[in-house]
Amino acid sequence: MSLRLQVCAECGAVQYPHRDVCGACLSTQLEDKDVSGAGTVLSWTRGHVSVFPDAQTPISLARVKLDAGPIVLALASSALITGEAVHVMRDEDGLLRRS
Amino acid sequence: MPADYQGVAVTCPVTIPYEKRSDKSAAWWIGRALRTLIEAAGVTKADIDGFAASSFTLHPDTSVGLIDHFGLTPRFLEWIPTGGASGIMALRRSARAIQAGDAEIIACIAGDTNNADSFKGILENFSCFSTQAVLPYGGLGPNGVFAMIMRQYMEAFDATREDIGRLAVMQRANGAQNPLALLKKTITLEDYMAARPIAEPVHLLDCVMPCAGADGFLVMSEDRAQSLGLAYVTIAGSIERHNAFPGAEQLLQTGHAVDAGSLWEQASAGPDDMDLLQTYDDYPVISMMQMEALGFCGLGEAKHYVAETDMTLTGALPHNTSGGQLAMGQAGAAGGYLGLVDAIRQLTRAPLGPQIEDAEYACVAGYGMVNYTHGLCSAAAILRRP
Repeated sequence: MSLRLQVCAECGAVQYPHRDVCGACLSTQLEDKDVSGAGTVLSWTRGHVSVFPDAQTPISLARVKLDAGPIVLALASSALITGEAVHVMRDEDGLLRRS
Repeated sequence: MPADYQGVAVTCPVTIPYEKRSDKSAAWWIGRALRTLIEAAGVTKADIDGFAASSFTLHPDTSVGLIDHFGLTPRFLEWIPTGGASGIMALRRSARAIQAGDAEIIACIAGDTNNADSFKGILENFSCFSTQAVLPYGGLGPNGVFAMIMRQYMEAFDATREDIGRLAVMQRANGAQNPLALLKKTITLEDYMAARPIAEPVHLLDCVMPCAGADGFLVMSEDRAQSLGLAYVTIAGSIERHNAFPGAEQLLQTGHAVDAGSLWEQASAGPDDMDLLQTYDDYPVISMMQMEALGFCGLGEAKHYVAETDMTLTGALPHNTSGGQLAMGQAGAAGGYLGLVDAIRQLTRAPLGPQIEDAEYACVAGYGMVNYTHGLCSAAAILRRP
């Protein structure tokens, strides 16, 4: 399963969050490419209080190290375990989510 | 080693009493602090020729808008948008300006208002990365990000909520003796454990209460402070570091770890010489990480250090002597001044509550700005009673 993220055309570094300049080599040649959505859960939380009045709590959120390089925050629909291998994809709202 | 801070005085610690909610603007709070500083020093507004400000709720203004608002004509102007690190950064920049002769009296102030819209506004506009990659992910705010830091710390070092809660209990005991604390009630470890979950493992008594307020101090030469008859402290050393660990998977240390050796070398002192310690306590686990990063104990050992050290006002190492933000509330950027201002009070023998006996040295740490997954800005200073 792949994930579309920015990749630097000069040094190959995968970017996240979205950048205008490469965080590794400062190139402005960033292109959207399909990269692997595979990663590892570094930490996670289950949130009960949101600033959004209509949010459905609890909200499970993970910090994930993608094999492709960057660290992302991704929503999850079920329980999380630190260290578990996961796949991250974009959901219908364009948010990163554990598949 | 950086040049020393010889000849620099830090004086006139001021806190405008916090309020849970305010219908006044950030400029109103900062302006009150400025007037209080001028009165405390016995100078005139025209004598203030340097100004450094920090605020999250002043938008679209910065320190530029404030000098127009207040009718100041400074020859040194700083805008330090670094929240929890802003107080020490203002101190460092001002100290160098005094040494260089770029200003004679610099007012350093942080202040924010708090109303129904302001907290949400801060979250929605905090940074480009957080707007796109944190906020839409459930709107958990800083609680969600710090929950993940707290869990990683707890799992890495086998620390429990009880281990962390002990620090919150001691700090709230300090706050109970501070007439300006918004939360004056002491808590027990049982209270801490029973608090409702906010973003697990963060529970309610890990969190600071947003409020309105302002804190400030003046920086000038020792000669000027003496001629004005002001009690002051000196700077024995200071450090700052930003984005210390880019891309780090393990967020187990604050950036202070990089430069702590320099801090103690500058001060010709060590953690054991400190009479009080102020850390940035947006969550108690972050205070424990600062204790470790600054060398008060080893990495992962804060659970033992906190359990074995009385950090109340009469203890071996009083920590967050005002009760910190956990008791005072978090008045936005003023949270980055609170520890510094209270350290100046203790060292100049003008405490809000009980005086720490014979306090000569204070270590003050700042930490702030969760641009994405963790706070990027770290700073610390050693203050000394002359």
